[in-house]
Amino acid sequence: MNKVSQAGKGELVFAGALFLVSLVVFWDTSGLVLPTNNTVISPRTFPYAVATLLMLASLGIAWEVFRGRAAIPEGAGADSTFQRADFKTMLIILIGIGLHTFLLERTGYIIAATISFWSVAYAFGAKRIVRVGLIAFVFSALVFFSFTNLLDIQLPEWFIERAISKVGS
Amino acid sequence: MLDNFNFLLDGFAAAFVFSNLIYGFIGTFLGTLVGVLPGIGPALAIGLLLPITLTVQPTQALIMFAAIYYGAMYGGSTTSILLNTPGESGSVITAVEGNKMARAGRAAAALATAAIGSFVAGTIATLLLAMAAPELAEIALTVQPAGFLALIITAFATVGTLLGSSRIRGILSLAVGLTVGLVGADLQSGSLRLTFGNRAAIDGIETVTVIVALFALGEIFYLASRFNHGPWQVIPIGGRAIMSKSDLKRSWKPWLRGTAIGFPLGVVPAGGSEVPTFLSYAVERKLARGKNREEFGHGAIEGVAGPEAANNANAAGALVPLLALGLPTSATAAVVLVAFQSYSIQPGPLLFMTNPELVWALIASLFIGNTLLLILNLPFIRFWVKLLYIPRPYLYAGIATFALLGAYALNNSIFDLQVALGVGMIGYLFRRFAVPITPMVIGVILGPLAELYYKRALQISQGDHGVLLDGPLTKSLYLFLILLIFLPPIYRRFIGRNRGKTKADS
Repeated sequence: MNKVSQAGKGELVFAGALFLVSLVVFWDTSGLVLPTNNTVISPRTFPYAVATLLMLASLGIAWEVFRGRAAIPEGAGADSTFQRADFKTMLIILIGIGLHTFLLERTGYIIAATISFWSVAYAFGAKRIVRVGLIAFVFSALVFFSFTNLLDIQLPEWFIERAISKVGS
Repeated sequence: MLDNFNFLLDGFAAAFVFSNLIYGFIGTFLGTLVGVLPGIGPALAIGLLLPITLTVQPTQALIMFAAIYYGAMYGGSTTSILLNTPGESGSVITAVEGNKMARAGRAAAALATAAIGSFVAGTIATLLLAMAAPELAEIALTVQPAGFLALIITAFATVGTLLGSSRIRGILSLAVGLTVGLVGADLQSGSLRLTFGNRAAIDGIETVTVIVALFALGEIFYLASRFNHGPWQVIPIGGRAIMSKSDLKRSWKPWLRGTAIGFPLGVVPAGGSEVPTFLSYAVERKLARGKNREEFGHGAIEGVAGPEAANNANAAGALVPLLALGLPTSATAAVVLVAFQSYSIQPGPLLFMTNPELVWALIASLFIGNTLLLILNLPFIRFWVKLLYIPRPYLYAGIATFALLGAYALNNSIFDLQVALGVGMIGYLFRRFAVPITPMVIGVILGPLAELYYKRALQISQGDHGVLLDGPLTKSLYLFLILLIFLPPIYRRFIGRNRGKTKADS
């Protein structure tokens, strides 16, 4: 059995997490309230089968890692050295999208989308943060008005959206 | 057969209205526009554009949709050739030879052979689809629930085990998809599964959200995690997007062979477009003689023409089981299924009986969309290429914005956005650990359907599990499955050997 590499350890955590998910599915399924009327087929059978498959697959991945066959990330060659993930860049985007989700129905579409657009552009190396902010705002406003006016798709609005459409009309 | 031809003519009559053609043009334009963007394959392009088709009439929506479909497919190959970033597995081979051609100053010829090859393959494959799907639907009407369950399990196995770097990772992806598909109320008993008290989860997880988040957000997270600050290299096109006489002479046979390989492998769910495009490539390489053969690995036009045709024919082939059986076998077909459902069309054997005019309008639309694409793209290729110069920060920010919008706008639900964020992280982890994505999409969509057929079969048999093996169809499918499990080591060895060769040459 080979020594598990650093990349392999990450994959073990991944497999372990999915193993836990399979346990959660087992636990959730066992707690299902069964219907009182006499149905032929239990609503538990299928989830149990899925949980078993997930459990076996995650164990299979762990087995692969222990045998020294850790995954080669997409786009990387077999011989390329292990590359530590750039968590800072990822985190900026995660926070941006998280804020988008949190703010969307509180402060309207334009603010939420401006924040997520800005965070992704900034994370990918856009340097002039004020200019990026302006572009993000204009882009979000354009998306908002073209979707709500041309396509009849409703998006949450706040005072900014109302103010712009008042000025526009 | 003659009936089908008449139906098809009616379909053309329905589709060939000026206003419909305008929708076709808009669809082609948008499909190519989004498909050209790096990192966006056809499945994601269609997923992102789905909200736009929701507000128009069904026939117009179908035409627009067919145009988007072909536009997105073609846009993807442009990116592969000029930027070497295939948006989906079907364009990987195109990127191998096409990008080499572009580097050697033959981008125009590569783009042209891809465009015309896609057109030829798309037209022939749609014709075959028009002939095969109704026949298959008729047979499918006699298939019992147990038979459908066997078909779905076969699809699971082929999609799960043939994609990606290892079978176990494909199965893992499928299992995660099935788990996501469990969330929500059980259709028959109403028991709530994996909702953890969240009311928004009762209706289950929205498929489009999963697709958009997996492909778009997952890719963005992944690119962010491996971010390097250098700009990418777009290869300029020299000359017009035309082919010389010798290019044409070298291309037409690969187009036809690619179609012949791609279509049947799309009909028999053989695990997406990776296998047919690769097979087509291997065949062309084997058949090439003399100087042309030496060009393989350095930009051989046959290596673009064949796989491109195979990819397109494969995509049309995948519409056969989708329309006739209601079973999607690729990520793209899965999005198409969701699109149909959003127009209140349920693909499956009954569709040809209940809604023939719609099916035939769709098939006619596929012809029209394909033709529009050729008209629109060859002259405008320079315009599309300009899109590749959008600075990366803005490109990804734009993709993220549309992905979030798509995830939210379908049901106006914050829960969908939360799901998108979670699924986006899964998409990241899958890319990081080389887990293929399509099996998960198939699992999310077909999982609930598998359970439904399982329960129906057992209800008919009063709980006797023997029914699951009844009949010649189920028996032969499960036999096929057993073969599938034990034959791949041999098959893999063959493919692996060829792959090794390509690597060594490039």
